[in-house]
Amino acid sequence: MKKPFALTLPTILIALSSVCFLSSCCPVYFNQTALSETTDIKKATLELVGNAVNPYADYESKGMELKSRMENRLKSVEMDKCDKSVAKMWRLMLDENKNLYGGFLKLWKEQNTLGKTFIQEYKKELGNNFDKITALENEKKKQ
Amino acid sequence: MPNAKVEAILKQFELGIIQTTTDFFKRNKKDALASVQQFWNDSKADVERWTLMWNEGQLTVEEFQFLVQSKKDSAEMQAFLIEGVSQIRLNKFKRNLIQTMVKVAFAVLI
Repeated sequence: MKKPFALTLPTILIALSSVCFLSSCCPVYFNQTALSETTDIKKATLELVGNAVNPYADYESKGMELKSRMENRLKSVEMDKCDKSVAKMWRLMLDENKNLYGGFLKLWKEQNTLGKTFIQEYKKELGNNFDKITALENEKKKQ
Repeated sequence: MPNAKVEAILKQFELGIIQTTTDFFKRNKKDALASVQQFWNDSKADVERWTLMWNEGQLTVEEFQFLVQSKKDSAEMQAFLIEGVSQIRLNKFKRNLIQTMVKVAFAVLI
């Protein structure tokens, strides 16, 4: 007859190693402020993009102010070491060498003004990318 | 507790874990594939529309290039979204697993 201990020992070992693995679980918490701020930044950014038919210089300060709000959001996310994906999204959004907000400001500055069709199309594209950030913030509610 | 009962509980635990794990990975794979497929379909339609707009002179070459290249960044954003959602679900799955393990441990011990 098998001893219960003989049967449970490997199980206990497996359980212990599982607990060690499971304890590496890095929780991310839902933050209503982060969600609201992201939604506000999206709204303000799309409004700004809508003004790109006008010279860049007229909106430079507004553009920089929004950039600064996004950088603050990134700093706040970076403080939470578990929230890596949202941080990566904000970094990409701000990168001047990419084609999201940072890149858009650079293009506007280079071209001085941008066309209506471009603005219409780009607003959808940029809006969808902001929605990805809010979708991820919202997913944290479901934990 | 009789050995047979311990074995039955552990067997049940093992089956439960296998089922939960399989469901977790199946669901995530299905969701990720659906999300990528949707992204691909939308992107194809957008690039086709932009090409037409460029040919008709509604977009400058710089604007057209910028829009098309933005799709690469959108794809990266999509990948980060999938990564983030999977991480959150994985954390939830791990917590559920710990709860199940604790329950089984109590059932075996008491």
